[in-house]
Amino acid sequence: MRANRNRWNLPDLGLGVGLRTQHFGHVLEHRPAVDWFEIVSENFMATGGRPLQVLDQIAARYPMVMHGVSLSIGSTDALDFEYLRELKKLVARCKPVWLGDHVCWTGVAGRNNHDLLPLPYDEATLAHLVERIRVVQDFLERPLVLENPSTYVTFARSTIPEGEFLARLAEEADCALLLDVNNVYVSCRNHGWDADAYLAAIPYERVVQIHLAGHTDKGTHCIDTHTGHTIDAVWRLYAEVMRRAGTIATMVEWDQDIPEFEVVHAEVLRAREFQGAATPAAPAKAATRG
Amino acid sequence: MAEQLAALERWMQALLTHPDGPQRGAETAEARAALAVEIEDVFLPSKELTPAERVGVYADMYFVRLVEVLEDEFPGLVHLLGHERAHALFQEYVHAHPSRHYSLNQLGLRLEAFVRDEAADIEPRAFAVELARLERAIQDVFDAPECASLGAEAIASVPAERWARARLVPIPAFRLLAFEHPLNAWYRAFREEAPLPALAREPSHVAVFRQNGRVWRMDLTRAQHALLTALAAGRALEPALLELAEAGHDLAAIAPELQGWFRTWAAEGFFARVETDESE
Repeated sequence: MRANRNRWNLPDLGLGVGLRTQHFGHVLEHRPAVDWFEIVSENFMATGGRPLQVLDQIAARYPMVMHGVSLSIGSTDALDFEYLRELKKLVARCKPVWLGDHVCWTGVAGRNNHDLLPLPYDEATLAHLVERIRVVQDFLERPLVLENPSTYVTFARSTIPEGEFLARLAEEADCALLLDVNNVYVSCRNHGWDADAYLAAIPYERVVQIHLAGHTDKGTHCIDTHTGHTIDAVWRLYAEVMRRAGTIATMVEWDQDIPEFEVVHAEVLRAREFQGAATPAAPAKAATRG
Repeated sequence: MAEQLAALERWMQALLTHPDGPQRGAETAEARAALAVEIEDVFLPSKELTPAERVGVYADMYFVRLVEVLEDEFPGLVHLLGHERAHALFQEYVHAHPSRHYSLNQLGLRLEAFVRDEAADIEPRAFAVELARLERAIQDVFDAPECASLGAEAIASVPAERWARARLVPIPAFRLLAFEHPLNAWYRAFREEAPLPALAREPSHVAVFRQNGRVWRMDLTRAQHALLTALAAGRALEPALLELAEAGHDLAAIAPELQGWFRTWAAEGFFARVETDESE
């Protein structure tokens, strides 16, 4: 077992929870002993009402991480600098320990399909992504933390295995990675990939965050629905990541049929069972704000 | 090389967003203009699914996700039209006016106009149009920028001699609505799961505003609505009242009510500031 030492020395925040509207009241009233919260950035952009007021209160008490869904880093449209300016405003307000999005595209020709759409993994896509990530990182003045998406198709033109693609992307763009272990499982199931080979290709010195979640198994394929408990097979992959990398900030996403806060919190606390003797990369208190 | 990726993305988008599924989407001029290929040329099969079935996973989720957003934003419209018709309406709307903004809060911006001008088989259309306007105003007010409101004391502190030329600036989270139907009465009954009033034609006026993070609705009289509309347009109080008189309102009847109106409106936090000659 070894401690993960990421390239930016970003702290291991411990075990976090995705902040959802349904839990605003509980979090404000009970101030649960959660290590940190992740927000979906867009839920607090283009709005000026209660969500921002709640965010201010929670961000004053807990370390925060921002996780977006509309950067569309893989789109061939021009980068949306209106979006990036609003994102930067939210960064200034929320003061996240880091922020990120997904290796995907969400729309083209000015449209936003509000989905994390897949990209072919080849040299051309890699070059396209690297160039755009560098521009965004320069604009935001911080590394992006990009997540592997769940995918439901594979492209005939793909030439690079996903794990290897992520490793090269992170290296060439000098960005960080969020490894969604449930997405690894879902994509491997859907495409017949070897999950162990996938995990072996990941550059853990660039992984600063882990996602866990439930999904929906349709028999013929799995869909990343963020509903229900994390299944045992995903926990086993998580244990393997811990074995390879040491402990990394971990959180659970739960977005459909969202249960009481304590249930979601208990779900992420299960991660301790699978961390074994993995050691923390840096004291969590390093990220705690007074 | 980026051109190939651009063509692929345009082709995929045409497939994923076609209401009759990706196969039909691939046959559209939009898709053909991007890439003259078959689905099987682009995507590989899995052990269980064909390429068309696999890309269909994305296509199925596209309308489900966006229709759900509209169902959450327009629950009254869903109730009025029935779930099946509302679902079809929202799907038609999303197809006609796809999202162009990163925030899903913007998705329903054009729904009122769509219900009024484009949607087929909407009954009762006039009421549905007004209901869409009310529910969109609630969303707009929820998302409007933050702004502290002026307390009743601050308004009361304006010297009497300055009132005629005072301009009261509403908070950003404030909308004035005029309807041909008793919209707020219907909407209140709907929210409270009470018996719904008849959809008779009867003009009504409503202020939608946010206070302490919550969105509220307040019934207004025609005169109150007219006065607040003039103030919101930047008129000072005296010119605003003159406009009301020109529009046929009875100023003699309004005058004794004014102090009470402003006390109520100030207590509800309608105004961000008072601009007087002195403050300019």
